[in-house]
Amino acid sequence: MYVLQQFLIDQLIIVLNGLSRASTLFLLGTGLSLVYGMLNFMNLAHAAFLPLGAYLSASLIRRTTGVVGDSLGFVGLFVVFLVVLLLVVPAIASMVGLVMEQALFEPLYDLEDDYHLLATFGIILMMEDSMKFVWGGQPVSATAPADLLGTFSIPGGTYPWWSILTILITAAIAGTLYYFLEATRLGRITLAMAEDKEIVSVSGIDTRSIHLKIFVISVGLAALGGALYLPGASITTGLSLEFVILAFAVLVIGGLGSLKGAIVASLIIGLVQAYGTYYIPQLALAAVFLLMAAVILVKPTGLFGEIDA
Amino acid sequence: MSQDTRTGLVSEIKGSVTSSWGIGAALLAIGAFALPYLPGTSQFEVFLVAQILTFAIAGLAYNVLLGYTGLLSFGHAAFFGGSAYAIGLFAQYAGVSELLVLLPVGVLAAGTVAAIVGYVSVRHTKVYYALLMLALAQLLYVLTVKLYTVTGGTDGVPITAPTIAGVDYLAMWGYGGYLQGVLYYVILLAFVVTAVLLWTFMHSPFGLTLKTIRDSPERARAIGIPVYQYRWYASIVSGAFTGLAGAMYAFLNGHVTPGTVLHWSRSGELAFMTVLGGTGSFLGPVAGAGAFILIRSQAQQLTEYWHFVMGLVLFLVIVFEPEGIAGIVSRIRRRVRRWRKDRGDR
Amino acid sequence: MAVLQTRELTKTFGELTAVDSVDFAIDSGEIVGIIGPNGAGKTTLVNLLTGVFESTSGEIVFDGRTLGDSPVYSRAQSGLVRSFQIPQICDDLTPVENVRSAILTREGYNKSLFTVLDWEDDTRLEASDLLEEFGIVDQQETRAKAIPHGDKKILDVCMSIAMRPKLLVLDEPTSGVATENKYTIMERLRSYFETSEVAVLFIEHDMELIAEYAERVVAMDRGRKIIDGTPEEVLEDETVKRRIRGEE
Repeated sequence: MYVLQQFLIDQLIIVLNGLSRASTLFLLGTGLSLVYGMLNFMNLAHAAFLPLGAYLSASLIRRTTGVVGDSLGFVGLFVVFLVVLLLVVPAIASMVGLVMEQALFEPLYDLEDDYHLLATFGIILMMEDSMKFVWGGQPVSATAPADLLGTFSIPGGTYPWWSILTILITAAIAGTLYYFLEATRLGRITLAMAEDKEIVSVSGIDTRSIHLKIFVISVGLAALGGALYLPGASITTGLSLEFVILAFAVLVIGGLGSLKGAIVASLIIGLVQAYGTYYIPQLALAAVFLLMAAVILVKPTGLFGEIDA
Repeated sequence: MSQDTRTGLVSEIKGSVTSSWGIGAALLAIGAFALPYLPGTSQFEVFLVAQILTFAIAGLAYNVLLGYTGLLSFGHAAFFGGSAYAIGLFAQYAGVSELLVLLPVGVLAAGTVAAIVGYVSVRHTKVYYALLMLALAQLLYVLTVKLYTVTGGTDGVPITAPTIAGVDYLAMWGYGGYLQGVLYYVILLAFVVTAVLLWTFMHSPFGLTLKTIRDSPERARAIGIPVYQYRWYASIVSGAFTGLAGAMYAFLNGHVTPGTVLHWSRSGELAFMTVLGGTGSFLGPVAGAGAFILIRSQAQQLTEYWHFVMGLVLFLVIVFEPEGIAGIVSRIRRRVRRWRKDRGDR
Repeated sequence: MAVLQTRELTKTFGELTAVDSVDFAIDSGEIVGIIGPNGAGKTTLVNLLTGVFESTSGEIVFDGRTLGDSPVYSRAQSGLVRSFQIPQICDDLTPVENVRSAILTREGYNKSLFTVLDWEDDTRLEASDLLEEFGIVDQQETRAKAIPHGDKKILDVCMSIAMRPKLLVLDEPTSGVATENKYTIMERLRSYFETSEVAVLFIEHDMELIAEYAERVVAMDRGRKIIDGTPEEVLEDETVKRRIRGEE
């Protein structure tokens, strides 16, 4: 009886860990997928916007705590944190993305595929060092929002509420994105572009402004991923280079340009990592790469993708 | 071979020897050979040039796939690091420290990894090929980091200076003598062998087959070329020579870690050097390796944010000169030729 | 003796039957034109014969062997060679290198690593001779991407001819070529046909070229072979007139 109970509790924790990991991966991967679907632009540097969001969050949380920390109550302070993490950070990162898109990324769109990967490899090196310049090479963390929420107890331990909140917020965003793509004009054009670029370009739609909007949204999503990731973890330089591959894994496993694919792939990778970490910690990450390679081999369009590269 | 081509060949060789380019190349070769004995050369310069030659080998090998077969790999770290690790681990577990044994072990290991990785990747091109190579190479990286009981994990593996044909030059001459008198020449020889062999391969029917596949896989099939098979062969050639570079790197640095030889950013660097030099020319990657190492060593002295400098260079090269250094050189050559012609007309 | 024979060859894509139980044969030395409106299944037929697609049912016998699912390259090696409607040539190679690549493959030299091509010249001579026959001058420095469109079409065909095919499938060899040059290309092809035993299958929209150069014509519509006969018979056929020649 006790063994069964312990087993179930372990399962619960693993699944929660998996879901919270999946949330980060979804927020990171889905923007990459949208941009690739629309522009055929494979952006290696996309993953660097997640640490950017996390670093911004760290600075802003500290600043906020310093300025208003004592004057507000528990609830007030938490609301301020949420506003900062959910709105201010993605907004600032989006502005950075807006400028970078026009200065660095736009000149690359017309080049061949191979050059996209190489040039954005250059950009990710620049972004990594820029973040190191601003925030230093030491690990940065800011756990205040997670500390405010605290933990809930389960037999044999506790679990942070922040992870639960992350999962819920991400689920809400996935829903919103789904609505955005299916029911708004911009969303439908985005989907149409992924299907057939020529038809859209001859239909008189200002494709350039749509590219820009989608790019900025994708940056905002990645930064939000970073903002939600930070309170439960610490960040350090080199994180972008690790997230690059996970972002690609989401893209490849789910299928290029597919929102549904990004959701399912994030869940798969998140759970594989969580279960792997629990049962075979040596091979948890390796399993993700194996899965990625297997999908490319067996079904190159990904689980839900229709675009063939 | 007809008389005509023979005389044509002779005059071509004469022409290239007497041209300013030929003379330049000859001077460069003599300079490279005499480097350790030139006045004012210290260990630092010899080490730097040895490093350039090491990466020049890797660049030439990398370009077999990128420039000649049309495949962008983000997984060459697996061959580079695979070889370096094979040497380190073999030396450690078999207790062998002989260059003539370790070198083939490294190249063979890289060739084997390339044969396996290549076999599963060659059905794909472009972004998919790049990502598949990335995933498979990163698999090797993660395994090396995590299986630390065998591999030493992130601490890596030390590689002691090997004996060469049984002679322990390090013990005889000290590190300076070993580096300048032996190891440098081993690397120079490896570079010359690589350059001669790969130049021959790329100008042989095999090379033409690869170029045909690069330009139009569909046409290649239509004239009877088994495209996947030749992409696979190209992967193995490229991987084995990248492994040779990895072996040289291991001997030169005396220590390898997953982060320095197996991480995907190393693959990115190899791609970077090759593109910087120019994929459209055989010797482009050599110039690319030279420029890369020199720019990096300058940038490292200047600032701790040298990655930023390298990233900027890569970005600028791709936006403004995708043909790389070789592209700039051929543009200058054309201009000189036109200038000479104009002068001759007058 | 038929060099190629198909029996109830069929290809379906989901609901669509692109090629519908086609029975067809061609002899050595024979020149057969294939006509049909867009979507009649001509290109699918070419892709089935050359091995780009696998047939849904039916069989193809080439040179006495059933082809089954043998891949494009091995069919090309055994003498079933095609050209392309949109020229498929190697842009960054010279025209001579393009043709030479086909010749070297034909001779099975692909794997030779140590022969430097600049020094070796019988395949080179063959390549430049072939191109010269078709009116393309051997320019060492010019890459194929820089030659005129008409020359690209010829180069594309020359690469196929260099394979010394037993059956040559020409996919609209004169499409996109100015009218006055179409006959130049076809005349050069004719003199090549006459000096070899090659069987030729060519898809063409230009009925005058069909009438002039084909010995036999096969008309296709909606995936089916509707008539097979001399050019006169086929071109005067009522269905052909209505469906293919656009006459009411």
